[in-house]
Amino acid sequence: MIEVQDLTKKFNGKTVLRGITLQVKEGEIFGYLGPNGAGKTTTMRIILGLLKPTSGRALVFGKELGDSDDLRRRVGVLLESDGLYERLSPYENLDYYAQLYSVSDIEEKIKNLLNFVGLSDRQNDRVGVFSKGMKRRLALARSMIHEPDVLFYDEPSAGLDPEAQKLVRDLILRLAREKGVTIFLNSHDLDEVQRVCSKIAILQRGKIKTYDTVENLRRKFSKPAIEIALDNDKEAEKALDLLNSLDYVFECERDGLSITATVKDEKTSTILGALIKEGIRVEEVKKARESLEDIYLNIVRQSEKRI
Amino acid sequence: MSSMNMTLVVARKEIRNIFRNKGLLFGGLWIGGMFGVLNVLLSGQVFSFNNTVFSVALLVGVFVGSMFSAQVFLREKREKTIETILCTPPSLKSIWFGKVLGATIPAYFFSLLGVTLVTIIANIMMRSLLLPSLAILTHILGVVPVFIASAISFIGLCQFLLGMRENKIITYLIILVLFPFMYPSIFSGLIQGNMNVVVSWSEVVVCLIGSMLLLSLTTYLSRYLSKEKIITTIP
Repeated sequence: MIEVQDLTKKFNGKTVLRGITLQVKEGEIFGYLGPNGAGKTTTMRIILGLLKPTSGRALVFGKELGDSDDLRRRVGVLLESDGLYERLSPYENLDYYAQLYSVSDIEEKIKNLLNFVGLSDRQNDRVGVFSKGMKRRLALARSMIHEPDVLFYDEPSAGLDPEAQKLVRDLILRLAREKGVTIFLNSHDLDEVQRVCSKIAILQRGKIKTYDTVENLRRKFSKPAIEIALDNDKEAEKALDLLNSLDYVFECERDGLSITATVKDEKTSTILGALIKEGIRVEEVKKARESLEDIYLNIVRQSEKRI
Repeated sequence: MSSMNMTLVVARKEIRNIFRNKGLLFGGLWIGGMFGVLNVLLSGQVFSFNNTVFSVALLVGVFVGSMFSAQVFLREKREKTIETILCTPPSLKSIWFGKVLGATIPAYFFSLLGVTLVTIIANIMMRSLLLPSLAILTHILGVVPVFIASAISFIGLCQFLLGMRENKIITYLIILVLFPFMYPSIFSGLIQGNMNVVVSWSEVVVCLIGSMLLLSLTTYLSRYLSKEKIITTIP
């Protein structure tokens, strides 16, 4: 569905993308992660046909999007800008895009979408008076007006309140599960990516550092950790000292009465024994998993150290 | 949908957007109305009706057109809405023509408004029936819209191709070049001492040739216009 092969992009002699290769299958939600300036937006712009690659190619449905007007009808976008006209109403904005995409039954589709994003009672107000969150919700509706097969979302939840963020997440999942829409998601929001994406790529300085499913990444990069809940401050202090002295404990982090320790795999079970042996009163011990955020930060930091 | 239809969809949106912008409308009314009126009032004894109509039609159209093209091309680029539009099915050419058409029609409307005001006030002042000559009528109905469209396509092309700083310089240049001509009676009076030179067919033809040349230049330069050029000059 989306195929990027050995993509390189240079701007005024400066290399921004270095041999990006990735593939997104039909119905997949793909998360494209990376720090600011890593090249995420440039990759998306090349796939969308807004920029020409210096070398390599980016195909959607086997063709370059920039070359095919008809193919662009099957693609929806939500970029950094909402792509809305502030002096027009939500209805007029959606009507304009519906005409550009040659949509049929415009009125009914606009009505349904405005209802879906909770803006039907504001359909005749000027978009200029809307809050950032309302504009983003309208932009989401705009991106779906022509019922695309592929959606490119660049930071879709940026600036949204938690409720609206959830709406975006649910929408992305529904589109992929119920309608089989393929979604290419550029995001900084690791929690969002973790919840919705099946596959991710982490980009740094124009190069893909890792590219796999979220589960595989966890398996590959996550170190085993345990979370220990203690009875009181004194016990927590004692436990922290003990854990720091054990050679099979890599890292310890205390948060109130809870301590998270990263340990060597085979030693996980022996920690409890060591604590009890020292007479430390443990309330609860459970295995913890590193979040995508930890994995992401580890990968980014590791590659920065290498540079 | 054909590319012509897409052009009309874009043009309709631009016209609607311009007529919703109160600041822009006020600017258009001020230039179209007030400058036309001032040209008549300030001309005093040396008033030449056809000369005033000739220049008001052209200059008001181009000046207001340059204001509208800033809204249609530059603003959309500054607010990055153009990025989303470039991802839609219409070709860059259709979007481009739609925008030129969408800025030309309202600019021509204000040009006609200026001409109407000049005609009404001149008739009141002179207390006799003054109507434009056939050459001037041809100028207003045939040459002026083409000239406005050529000027808007050229300005719009620059606004799409160049960065924000360069565009600022172009805006100042437009104001500096056009503003003195906005008062033809004063400007002409200063240079010639009077306004008795009657506009003839030759001036009308020169204007038409001028607009054609500008259009040719824009067509030639438009080969450098690409989505990449627009995207990489977004601030």
